[in-house]
Amino acid sequence: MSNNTALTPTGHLQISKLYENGEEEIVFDDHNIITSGMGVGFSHLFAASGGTQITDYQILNFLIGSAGNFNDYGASTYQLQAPITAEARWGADTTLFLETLYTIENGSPLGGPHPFARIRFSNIHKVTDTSVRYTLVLDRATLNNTALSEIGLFMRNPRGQTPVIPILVAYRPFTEITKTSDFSLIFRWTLQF
Amino acid sequence: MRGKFKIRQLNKRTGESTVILEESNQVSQGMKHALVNILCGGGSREVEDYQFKYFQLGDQNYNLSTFDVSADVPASSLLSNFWTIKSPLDPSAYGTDSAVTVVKRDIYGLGSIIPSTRGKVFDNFVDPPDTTKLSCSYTNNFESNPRPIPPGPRKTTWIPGCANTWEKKAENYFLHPLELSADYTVSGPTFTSPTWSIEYNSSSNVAGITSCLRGSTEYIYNDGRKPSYWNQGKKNQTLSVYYMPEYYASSLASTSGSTPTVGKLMLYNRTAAVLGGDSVAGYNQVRFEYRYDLKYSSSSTPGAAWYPPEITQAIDGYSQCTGDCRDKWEGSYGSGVTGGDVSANVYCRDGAIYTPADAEADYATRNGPGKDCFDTPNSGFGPSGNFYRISVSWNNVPDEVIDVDTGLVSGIALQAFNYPLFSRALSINPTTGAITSTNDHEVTPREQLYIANLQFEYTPSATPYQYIHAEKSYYITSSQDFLVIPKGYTTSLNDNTANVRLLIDEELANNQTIKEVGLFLKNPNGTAGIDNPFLTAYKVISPPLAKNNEFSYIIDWELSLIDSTTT
Repeated sequence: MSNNTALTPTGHLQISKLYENGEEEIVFDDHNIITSGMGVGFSHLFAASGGTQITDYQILNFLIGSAGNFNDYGASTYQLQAPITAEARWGADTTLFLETLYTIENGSPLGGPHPFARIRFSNIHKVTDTSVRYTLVLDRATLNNTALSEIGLFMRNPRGQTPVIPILVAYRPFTEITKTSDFSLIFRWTLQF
Repeated sequence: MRGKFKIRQLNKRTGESTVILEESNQVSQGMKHALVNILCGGGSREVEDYQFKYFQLGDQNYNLSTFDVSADVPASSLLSNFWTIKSPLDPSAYGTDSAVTVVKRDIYGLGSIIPSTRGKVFDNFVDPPDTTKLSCSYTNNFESNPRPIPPGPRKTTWIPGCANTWEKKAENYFLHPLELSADYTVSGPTFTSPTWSIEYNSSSNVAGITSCLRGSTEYIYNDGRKPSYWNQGKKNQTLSVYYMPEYYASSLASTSGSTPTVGKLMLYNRTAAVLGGDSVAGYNQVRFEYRYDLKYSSSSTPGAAWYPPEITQAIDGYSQCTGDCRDKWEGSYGSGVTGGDVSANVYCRDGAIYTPADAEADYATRNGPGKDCFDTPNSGFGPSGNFYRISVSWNNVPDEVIDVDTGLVSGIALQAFNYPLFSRALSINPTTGAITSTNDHEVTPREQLYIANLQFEYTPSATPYQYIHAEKSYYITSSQDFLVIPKGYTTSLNDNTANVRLLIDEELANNQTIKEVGLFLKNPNGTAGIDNPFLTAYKVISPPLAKNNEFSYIIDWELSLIDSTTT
């Protein structure tokens, strides 16, 4: 029997455009990267050295950006290349709840601040006993006329600080999509442990 | 999550410290479940419940050669799918003089009710890959249920009897054409008992019927739900069962006519039967003949032997659906839409007897790795070597068949039909051992056969046998003894590691041979009252520690999460 295996989480990201008539078009479908931030976050939990609330270790925010580079990302990625930095760019009528937060980047809580979108609990689903899916929706009023090409998931506040400081735990650049009011953009992101 | 494991031995008299083992460890299923609990908010809301609170020492360990769930389970099945260590010590083995606290807790893990008569048991290494999961479970429990099935916990998905004309008679309502019973005298292909003995009802006239075991929807979940069909058909699927028929030698004139001769295994597409207006449209089946050397006067005579069954037919429902049935088929599925590919195989201990090319040749040739078994007696599985595995695969099912939706019926409502006793010998030539003809089942004694280890999976051919659980897995708790990890023994030495120190002091587990260690999270489910620890990391100690009071040991365990995906 092998006793040398590790738990190796993986992730999968599917992006689709949803038009008003109900038509859905898948525009991206590929694996993602679990970044080292996931290990950092959970090490705080297991070592009892971080946040004291379970929500501190949950993935409750995402950030989207416009400079995804297929040749420059990996498990050590700790930030988006060019995140949306102005809350106004998300759109005045967006239904997303936005909150401006600093981030832990490369071990230091100095990244940002960035306008993060909040992931509602209703958009988090346990798919199997060992996998979880996040459904992120940029509705038709969000980020219009903006070229998008990268996205990251953030653990809420593993260090348990006030105010909260998230850390990047999963990341993926994708083929550039210019968001318009013709469609909503849906990200279905599954993490498998 | 990767684990590094290091044991240091401390000499009581000299104070000398020696690293005696430094390796990776095995991260187990409990860690995955705990992480998903956290992310989904589905488990405990207390951070403390996700900390390393307990460990266990054991005097056995897992390895392939002693693994007894299956005789043919591959090493790949022995990954992280286990929940308990092999043989945890009890308080008497830990001793009473150690400073380490021993407590009793209800360990949490994947459970089984197989075999049902033994009650709930823990299964290790059994969580199957997604492709083999069923919408109904406990396929390996063939226990007969009373009919109608009373409300309550699920027991089996198997109903004996497919002969509706017989079953529908009022006088037969509580009788089964086929009777099953757990038989503890016959070990199965995995060398474990019971197997399931099956024979026609011994008290009723079953002349003229041919009955079977069928996968049933007469099955009630704990929450009261009932599935609408046994299973959903997909592009590829395979059903397999191990059989061991009982034969009566040719000289036993009074009983030899009870020798089983033919069996049948079927993936029945109920939707196609409805749409075609004829049940044959759903018959995706194989027919096989049992093979014995029947010249001998008793089954204990030297030379009397079982041989692997022979496939005599593998056919899909579309091919049998002709005339009006074919017209209706094409009206429902479309012109030119056929029924997919049905194939079969027989497995002995050397593997499959047939290849795909043999199937193309209607099983007239045998070129699989197990081909030499065909003429080798008792070359199957189990202590007797008389269990042979037979599979039926229904592959390349057209999309039109999978996706059909008439508004009344849709998809493939699949049902498993298992005819282990399709016909019996009428008489046997005592000189040649040849079966002269076959007949139905109105004889005494009834023909008899043993079945075991059914497996249904969404694969093009049968994969090594493993216990199958439902898509909604079944978890249980069981009381075990744990050593408590004091607060302060867990820390983070690097940004992305959790480090745990376990102390085995001079007075703990003396005179025990320590062969394994398990590390547990406290109570990730947040169960009220007593903790339900999750096994999250496991390590075989090799060479074993022969523990005595001359030495203490410190185990440093480092866990870190890594991503296996490459860009």
